[in-house]
Amino acid sequence: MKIIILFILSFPALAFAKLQIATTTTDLAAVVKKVGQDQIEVFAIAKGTQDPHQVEAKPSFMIKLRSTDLVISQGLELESAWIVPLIHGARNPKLTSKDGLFELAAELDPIEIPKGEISRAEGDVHPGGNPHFQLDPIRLGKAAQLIAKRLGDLDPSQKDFFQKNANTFQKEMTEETKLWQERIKKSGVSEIVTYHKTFSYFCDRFDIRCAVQLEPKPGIPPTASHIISVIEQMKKRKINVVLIENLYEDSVGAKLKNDIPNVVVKRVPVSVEGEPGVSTNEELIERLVKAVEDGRH
Amino acid sequence: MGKHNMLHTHAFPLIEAPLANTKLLGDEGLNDAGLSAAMLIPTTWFNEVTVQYIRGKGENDEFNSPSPGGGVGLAHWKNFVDVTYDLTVEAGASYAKGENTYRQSTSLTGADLTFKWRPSDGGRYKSVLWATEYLLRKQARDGFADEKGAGLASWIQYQFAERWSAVYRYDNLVVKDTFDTANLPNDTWERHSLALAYSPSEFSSYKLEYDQRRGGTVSSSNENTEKAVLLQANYTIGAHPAHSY
Repeated sequence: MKIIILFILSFPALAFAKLQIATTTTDLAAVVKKVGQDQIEVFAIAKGTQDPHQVEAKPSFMIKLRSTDLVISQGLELESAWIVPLIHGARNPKLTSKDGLFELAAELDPIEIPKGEISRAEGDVHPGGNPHFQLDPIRLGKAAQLIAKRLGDLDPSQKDFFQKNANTFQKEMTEETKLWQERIKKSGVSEIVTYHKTFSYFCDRFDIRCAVQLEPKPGIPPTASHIISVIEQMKKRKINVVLIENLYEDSVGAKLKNDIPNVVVKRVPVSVEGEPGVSTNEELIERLVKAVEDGRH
Repeated sequence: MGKHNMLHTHAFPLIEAPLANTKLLGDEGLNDAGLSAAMLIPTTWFNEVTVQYIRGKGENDEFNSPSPGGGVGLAHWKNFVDVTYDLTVEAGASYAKGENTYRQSTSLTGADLTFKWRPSDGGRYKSVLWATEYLLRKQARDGFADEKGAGLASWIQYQFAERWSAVYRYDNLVVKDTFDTANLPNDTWERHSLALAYSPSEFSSYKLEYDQRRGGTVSSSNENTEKAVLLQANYTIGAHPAHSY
């Protein structure tokens, strides 16, 4: 009798249980929050101050993933070194199934896909293209659409709700993108230097050139000879804005300031929650647009 | 079995494994083919029990039974807790039992405790790991008192820059009622080791190490302290999966 009563009491809770979503990054968690709102629970594994290439697969994350319905990642091997062991360690059949890990970047028209033979001699190259789409507001809008569809498949009763929220988010991002594009154009900044190729999608969207990185190759820390080459290129091409992702130390920035007059070096977040006051995707991109504007002539 | 025995040789904090591991488990450690099953206990923290059955025919003399089918049973209990997001603690216990060369039992008992700190902001450039491990081996033989070997190792690894770290380790080994006076004499060994490691990339590392070990065979000048300077270059060729945390 007790069992029957317990079953009846627990049935409404089961019927209206919220989807449990894990994301690899805070940027994706922010999009999932916009789409799922109060109908889902979401947590990000990496913090906004962490380099998503190098998160450690702590067993405590496996415990969190035991009750998760879906893991959403940026993909293109950005997180593969740690998300795969975490999923296996969680022993959650929902996640080890074919659809348990939802990788977004490959669905979002990736850029910088390497051509020809790929070798480790080129550093930490992503064979499928650059995975750092989180700084492109248009791709974030498209990501919201993909997320809404997947969440709707998992909880058909909320399908329309997720779709409506994704549409709203995408519309907001599209409209804001136009304003951000105008501001960057007005700033006159046409080329920047960054530490890693984190800004490729941002630069692509806002028509800024960012061909020079402080890393000689992806994942390889700056060397003295490479920094000399960067300084020469900056002087030659009159680049005076350097954005250093705040995942990296800024000792190189101090050297650039010494060698190049009027250079603007900013240490900036590249993920949601990467610094206090940046808690949404819009706030993150607004922060970066302002950083570019600060480098105006 | 234990903490250090699970590490790949290229991931050792120092060039050599602790004395207890090399003297009691063999140069290659307890490393053999067998069957393994692991289960997560449903608690709020990571609580995993692993049971294994290995052949006992590998590098490990302590389990080299001449009896057909004389394998080794092993159990490991691992607990892992986030004290904060940046600081974790792992506590483990291990036990293994099998038949030795003398057709009697050999048992291994281990305990380990590891603290790891890596800040989520700036963790690329600094981290600290402090691990302590105890290992006890008991061997039985007809007509002899049980041989006992026990060792402690405690090491602290401090990463102070993106590619640089320093390691200090104290380890010891106490052997009583030995069956093998030539290779494992009754004695107390103690060793202090200090190393500086540089890893230009995840595929290569260089280590400069100073060891001072006391114990073991006495030299002609009645000395039993050995001092050594070691230099190691490590290169990894090809793809290599991430190590477990």
